[in-house]
Amino acid sequence: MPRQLALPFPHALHFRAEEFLAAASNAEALEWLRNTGSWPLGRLALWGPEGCGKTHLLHLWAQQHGADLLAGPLLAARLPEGPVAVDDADAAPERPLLHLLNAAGEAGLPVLLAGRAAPARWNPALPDLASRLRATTAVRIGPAEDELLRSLLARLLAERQLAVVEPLQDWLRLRLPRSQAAIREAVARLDHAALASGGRVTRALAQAVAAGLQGEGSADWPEDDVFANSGVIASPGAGMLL
Amino acid sequence: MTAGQRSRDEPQLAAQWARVRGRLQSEVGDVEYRTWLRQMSLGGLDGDEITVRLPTRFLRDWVRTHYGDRLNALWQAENRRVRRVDIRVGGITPGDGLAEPVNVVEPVNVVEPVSVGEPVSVGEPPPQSLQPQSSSPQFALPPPLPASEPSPAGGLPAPDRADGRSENAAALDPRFTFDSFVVGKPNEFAHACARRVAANPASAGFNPLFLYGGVGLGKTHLMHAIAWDLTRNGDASRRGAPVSVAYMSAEKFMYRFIAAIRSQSTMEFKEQLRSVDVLMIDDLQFLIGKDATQEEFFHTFNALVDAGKQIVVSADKSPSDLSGLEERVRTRLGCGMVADLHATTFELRVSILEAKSARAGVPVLPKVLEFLAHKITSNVRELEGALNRLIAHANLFGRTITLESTQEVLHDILKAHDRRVTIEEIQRRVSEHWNIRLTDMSSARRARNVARPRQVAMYLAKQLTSRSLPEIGRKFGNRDHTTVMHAVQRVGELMERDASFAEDVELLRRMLES
Repeated sequence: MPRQLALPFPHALHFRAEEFLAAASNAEALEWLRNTGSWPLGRLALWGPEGCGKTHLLHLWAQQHGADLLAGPLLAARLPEGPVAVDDADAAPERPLLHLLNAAGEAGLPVLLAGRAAPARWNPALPDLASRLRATTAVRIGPAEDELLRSLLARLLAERQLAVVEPLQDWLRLRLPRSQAAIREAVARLDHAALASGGRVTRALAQAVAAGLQGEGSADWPEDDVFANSGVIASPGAGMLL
Repeated sequence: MTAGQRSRDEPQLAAQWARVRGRLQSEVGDVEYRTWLRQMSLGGLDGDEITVRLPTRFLRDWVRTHYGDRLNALWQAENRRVRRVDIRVGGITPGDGLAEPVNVVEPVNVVEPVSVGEPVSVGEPPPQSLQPQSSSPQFALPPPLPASEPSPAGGLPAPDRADGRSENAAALDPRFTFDSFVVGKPNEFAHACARRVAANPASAGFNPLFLYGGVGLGKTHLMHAIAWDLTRNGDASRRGAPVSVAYMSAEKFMYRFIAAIRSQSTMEFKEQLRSVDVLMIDDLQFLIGKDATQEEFFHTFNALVDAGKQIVVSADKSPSDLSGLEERVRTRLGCGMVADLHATTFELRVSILEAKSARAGVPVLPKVLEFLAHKITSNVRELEGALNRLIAHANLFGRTITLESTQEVLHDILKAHDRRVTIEEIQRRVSEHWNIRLTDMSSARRARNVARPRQVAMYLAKQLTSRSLPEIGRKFGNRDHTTVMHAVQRVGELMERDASFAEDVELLRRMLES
């Protein structure tokens, strides 16, 4: 008999406009997304570390403009029929990406790309693609401010219906690496631990989670792949949704 | 309140609201206002309570905490009836679609991977873009856009545009004309050849015209310029007789050929291609390894040349260097005029930037243009891309273009890579800057000449890394996170009061980031 698998993200991921946490670190990106008409050559690339909200923004933009939202790694050669957003575009196969940019450019359709680094750093082997990427307007989503991390932690806990008093939230946040990815991972672990112990989120539980994450963080983490080796985090990105 | 009273009050309320916002904006500054407050909208006055709406919960909370008191005071000053301001979620500023609350997560249209484009019916004439003077409407170009119209890529297209636009009508970029092509030593020969073909298609010695050069040096620009010129002016050598032009990239040629095979309409495909006066294929290198498409191209090529029609081809290499193309194809390609576009010189790059900023109607300081011409040497596409970005950024955010803003906006292409700064590096740099021992970063000494640099290093560690504060504290001799918090606060205060200190800290930050 097939066994029920325990999926790492049992709750639905929300990509609603009202769920998006606007902050100074993403204000510039929001401004560009509100003004699609001002994108040079009709192209824009958002870049920033894992968990900084790129996928969320792509969803909002795609909904608003009736755009196809494509997963970069699955990109295949086809002619675009409308505006296109490509998540994880830095992992897209090169020729389909190049042809998408060309075809959309010819048809006057806007293309929104997202990746962890600026497109100028994607270093594709195809020179034609490299020069198009370097000519693309790139907008960085900056490191999260304390206020944003605070709101994110509160929201993620609420989404999983984890009741954690505010002082404990502050206590936990202070002990976590200051990135959205770390906050997400901490909440996922907290949820898991609370579920396993069948109880509330206690200070001891929070301490164990923070200590676990600090342990992983003791080496010099590259900011982007904080959890690349933990195997626990499921990127809330395209892979799961698309 | 009665309905009549409400409608009488509305214009007055709107005017008061405009003044409240204006005052708030001048109090907090443009940047802060744009970031947090611009999306406020007025709900209405109910009794003594006025409602202000914001599109997201986060913004509502933020505005409540940070600007609630000011909004209250400003409203009370404007309207004596107002006693309280209620800040709520809801209400959308027009044109601010991204902030629109979306209550249902719509399923996003996911496209299945397919190996080639959708079948395209090549037998049908396009619904639009017929050129009356064209002898072959199937390949007619869209009518030229007026010069004042923005590029098609700039605006959001109407929803049906992609479908309505014919596959057959080659998309020509309205910006790519001879007028907008900046000529310099590296490209003057190719430009002259292109002019010649545009003025006198299929003249002896120029068929085919083969343009080649590295990426982004202007091959496509010249191709489009020839096509525009011919469709607008016709064949000048035959008193402006209409010319039908088919322009397409090699990849599109391939898509359409495959589609024709699928829909069993290869005969129509061949006939259409062979009925044009000028066939232009861009980026021919993409046919390498596509033997069947190459074969078809070869036959079309021969048929057209034999019939005295003009062929223009571009590629990234000269015909003889296009290994992977069949020998007979290479030979045929090289038997007309072969013109190359060389890498740009500094002078040409400056001229290109000057011309482009003048066309955009945005004055850019000569030192900024020279800086770009000096830094971005790879190709014209990237050079123009950089200027486009600067101009779009300046327009969108209402900023002037300076050398500093240029470096900031274009940092991803100006710098070879983004540095990931470590706490150890910060400690080393800061120690060197104030000439103290590195060990003092973690020592217990509290003398000001040591403590202050240590605080700066903590401040920078918070700004430039994502480490938690307790972890930063540990790296500074196992200090408590409250010490780090205090340092961050103290340095922030000092930077506001002491300009030269602030300059020191900024300099360190730039050094660490570069």
